[in-house]
Amino acid sequence: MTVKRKILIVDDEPDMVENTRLFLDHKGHEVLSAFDGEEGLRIARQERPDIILLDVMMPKINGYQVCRELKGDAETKSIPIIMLTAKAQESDKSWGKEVGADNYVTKPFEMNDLIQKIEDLLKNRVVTADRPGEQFSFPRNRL
Amino acid sequence: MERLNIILVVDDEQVIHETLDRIFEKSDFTLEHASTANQALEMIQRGYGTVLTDVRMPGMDGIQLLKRIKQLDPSLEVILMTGYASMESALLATKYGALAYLTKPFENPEVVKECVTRAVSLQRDHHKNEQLYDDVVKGRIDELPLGGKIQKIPFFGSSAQQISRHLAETLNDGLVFLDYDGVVTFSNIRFAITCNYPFLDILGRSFLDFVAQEDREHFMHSIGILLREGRCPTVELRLITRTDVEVFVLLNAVFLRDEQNRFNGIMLIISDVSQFRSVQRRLELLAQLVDRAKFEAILIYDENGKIIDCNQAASEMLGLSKGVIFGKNINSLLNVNEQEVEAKTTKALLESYVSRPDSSSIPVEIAISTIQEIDGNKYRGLAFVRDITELKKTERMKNEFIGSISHEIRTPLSIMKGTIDNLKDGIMGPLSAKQIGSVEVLNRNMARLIRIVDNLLDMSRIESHKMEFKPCAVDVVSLVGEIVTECQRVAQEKDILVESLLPEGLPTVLADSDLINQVVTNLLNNALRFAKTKIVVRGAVSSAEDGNDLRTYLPAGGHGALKRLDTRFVQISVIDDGPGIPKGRIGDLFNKFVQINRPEGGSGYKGTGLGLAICKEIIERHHGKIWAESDVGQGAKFHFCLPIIEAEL
Repeated sequence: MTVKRKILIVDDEPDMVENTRLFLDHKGHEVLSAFDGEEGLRIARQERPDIILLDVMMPKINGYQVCRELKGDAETKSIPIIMLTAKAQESDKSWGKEVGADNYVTKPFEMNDLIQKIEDLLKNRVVTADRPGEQFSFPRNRL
Repeated sequence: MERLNIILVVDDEQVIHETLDRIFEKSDFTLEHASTANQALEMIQRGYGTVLTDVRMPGMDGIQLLKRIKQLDPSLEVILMTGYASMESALLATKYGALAYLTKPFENPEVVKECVTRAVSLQRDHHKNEQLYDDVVKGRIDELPLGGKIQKIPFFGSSAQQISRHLAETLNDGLVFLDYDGVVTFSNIRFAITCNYPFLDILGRSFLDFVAQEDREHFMHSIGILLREGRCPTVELRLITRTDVEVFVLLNAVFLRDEQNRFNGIMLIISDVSQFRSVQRRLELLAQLVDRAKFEAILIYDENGKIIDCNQAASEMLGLSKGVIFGKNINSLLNVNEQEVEAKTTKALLESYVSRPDSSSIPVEIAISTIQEIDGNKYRGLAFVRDITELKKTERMKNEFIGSISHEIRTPLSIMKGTIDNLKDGIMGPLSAKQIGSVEVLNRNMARLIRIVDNLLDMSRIESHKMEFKPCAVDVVSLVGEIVTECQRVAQEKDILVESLLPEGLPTVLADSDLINQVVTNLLNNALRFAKTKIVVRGAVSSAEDGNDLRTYLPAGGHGALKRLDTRFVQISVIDDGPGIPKGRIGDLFNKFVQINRPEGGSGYKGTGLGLAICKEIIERHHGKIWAESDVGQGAKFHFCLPIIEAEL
């Protein structure tokens, strides 16, 4: 059985968001959506989702920038982020890691693959949440 | 003072005469001076050890003077002096027989002295030889310096008549005597053959009858020189045969004298050079064509790789004058190494670049042709070098285009895939059996489309060298083993037995495991498409001598501390018992966008025609080789080899 999670999906392709929303909704999760980086940042801060699915290529602020913002902010740094990347190149993977992303999936992805990665990350979070102190850190300077 | 120690200096500038006077002040040599070429020519009769002449002078210049001197006395050495030193004029000077080339102002008086000393000593040697010859002929010497006595020379003991006759009959050149009016008084048989006249028709005829109309004046001029100056240079003429054919000859004219030393006519010695002439013509024509070839730079090099000639296009491409290119090493000029050149001499083209003096570089394609010397070891070669800047640009544009298009296609594809997944998973509500069938069709074709786009992206990445290539020591056998295990499930569904014959403990190879994984997966997928009942995967060590024309080279400075210590390879083979591929089409298999229709099998799956092309690129990137063996009805064998590389300690 799955626990109901609050999942934020940020992507400038509304159809993409809709597909993912339908699927996750079907799996019993609560899905929030944002269609560009700014909106994504705002909703993430407001709603504190359990996990964020973040597209890389977006107008205004791209996914890497959003990721870096959230990971640099003590308030949101513990929220796991999965990057949705269209390129499967080594440079993209390592750049994702650089800005603090927790995992990535390459488009086009299998929905089941996505849900697996979501579950894995949230399971880990429960483990780390059991160890208080890990969650605590001094606010870092913004990068 | 001996005349040979006197040097004639020809220059219109007084200061040069003074400088040279100072240089030779305390030497064995004395200088005499002329300020024009004409003055020098008048003085030359006196006899000199050597002549030093300026090139640029009012009136007759130094090159013309050089030519005249060489006509009058071929043994007299001439040294040119000039204020501007260019390779071209130096080459020109040596072509006309100058001994050396000095640049003014003279930076090093020793060089000037050395040069003059050498010229005089050559002239002295020549005079000595003339003296010795005279001594021998006149019987003044009979002891030989190396021991023994001079043998009696048959000619000199016999009568003059006998000698002349013997010479006339055996000489391979035409021999013609003319009287003072230019009428032929005697001809040998050789000349009759050359001009194709009956012997008796030659005698009594004016020699001019045999000379081509256009060359008559030239001939008369030479005879004029002979009469005035006592000797004349060899001239090249065209004779006209009785059948109106032109014959190129070299003609030497000398005075004939009687016993009282009176003029007694002229003797002509005529060598037929038409054969050489036609070869020379062809060579000249060829050389001109080579030099004018616009699109390809052509470089000719000797057995040491030293460039000995090149055409105008080469000089333009390299941005260097011919004089600078000559003598350079072909390999360093074209940035290729010797092994590469040797390996490619047979057929393939070599890609490289050339650097220009403005520090730009041009991508080039090189074809090499070599001529082996008779002893078989050394060879001379010809390199054709073509500028492929435009080609590269087009290629890059094509790759970028494919890359960006593929990327654009991926976004809508992902969305469609998501929608299909949702339908399939029943997220949009339960589907009827018919609907499920339709979704399956959508799903299958979606997978195919994605595969095509992925392959196109891979190809464009590989071709634009953006492919990630991170080689490390890989146990290729266990890598292959894992992939085989993964495909067992699909194989079972298709009732195909996959047999793995992978011995343990094979040496490691230098490879990027992700890329090799891609190759093996591709080969296995192909095999699964076509196999009837069985696939065999084999691993073995092979050596370059096993044939298959395996050639690998150490990547130049590529992999840091890793060094190839072995000439062996690990060979992986994927063998199926499918319908096979027509033998004649195997060569095409690894080309882009080629799909060989194999009869039977392969239903429901269509490839992109890129899979094997990608495999080939990947394997070649590893300095390995991939190839196939097959024929209709005989299954297919695909092999690839990776060089065994060990880490250097």
